[in-house]
Amino acid sequence: MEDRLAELPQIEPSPELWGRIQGQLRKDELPARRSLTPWLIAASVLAFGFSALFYLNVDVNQATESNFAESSEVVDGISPQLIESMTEPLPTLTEAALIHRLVSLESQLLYDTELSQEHRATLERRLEQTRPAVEFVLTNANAQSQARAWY
Amino acid sequence: MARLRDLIVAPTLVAALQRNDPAAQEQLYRMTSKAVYTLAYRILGSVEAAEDATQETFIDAFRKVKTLQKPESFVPWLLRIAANHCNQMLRSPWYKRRVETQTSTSDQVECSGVTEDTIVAEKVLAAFPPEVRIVLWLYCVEGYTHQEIARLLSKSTSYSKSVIHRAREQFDKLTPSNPMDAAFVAQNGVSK
Repeated sequence: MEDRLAELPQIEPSPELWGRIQGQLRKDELPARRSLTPWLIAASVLAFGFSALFYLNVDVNQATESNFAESSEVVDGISPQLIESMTEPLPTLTEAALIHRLVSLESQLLYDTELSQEHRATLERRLEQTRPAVEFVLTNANAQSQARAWY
Repeated sequence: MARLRDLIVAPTLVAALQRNDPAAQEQLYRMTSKAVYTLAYRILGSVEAAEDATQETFIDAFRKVKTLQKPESFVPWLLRIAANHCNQMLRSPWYKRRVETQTSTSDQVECSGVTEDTIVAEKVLAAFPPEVRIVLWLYCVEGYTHQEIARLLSKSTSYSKSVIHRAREQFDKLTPSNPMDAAFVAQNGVSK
């Protein structure tokens, strides 16, 4: 059996086979091009990630500053906007704004220990003007609901 | 017929291959492609599968030749790559599917200067299942030992021995004086 199998003739592969092998070898000689795609994808993902982080970071900072500004208006009343609103004539203020002013004035008088005597006197005078106006609007049901909503 | 194992590749050619020299690659291909392709074709029994296995063998050899420590062991190393690719091909689902749907047991390849005995032997070999052909070819033609075949196929040595024993019995029945039997086997196959 061995002899007869060994006598079987050799077979020639098709002439195109060497071309196929050469083509595949040429592909191997371009490792840079082959590895470029994953690098590009990784770079794109990183760029997108950093952009998103930068955007979110700015957004968070802005939101924090905004919240701080709003809370400072209510608690210690030292923001310029609040001082400005305190100088507005009472009839122009809405019910909610009146309550806001009342609370702000009381808070500032209570917690701000660095107020000058003159400033404190001014704020106390405004508080005395605001309190009756607030009491008046709170007798109105609509104003009461607005006040609850505000708190 | 020159077996792949009988080929001689000069150490200088191996050194050139290790330098990735295109001329050396072509020279090696011209020297060994017939033997590699014949081995693949005799085992796989299909022109397309044999060409694929040959292509993968040379691509693997060119890529990994730098790792070869001993240039004198290049030919056995190349034979091992080729046998591994044939074995992988035999296990691949698409090849099994192709064998199942094949109308004839083997593609017909024209060979010049063949005798009637050779044609009969070729038909008998082609009538065996590919799992038997790989053992037969490696053992009878390429001189693999049962241990080497067992290691390649992840089987025991007794598997290789029993395949050879049964194949020899069937092969001997189909003598050149009885070519009709060979033709019958070629048409209807040979059980493992």
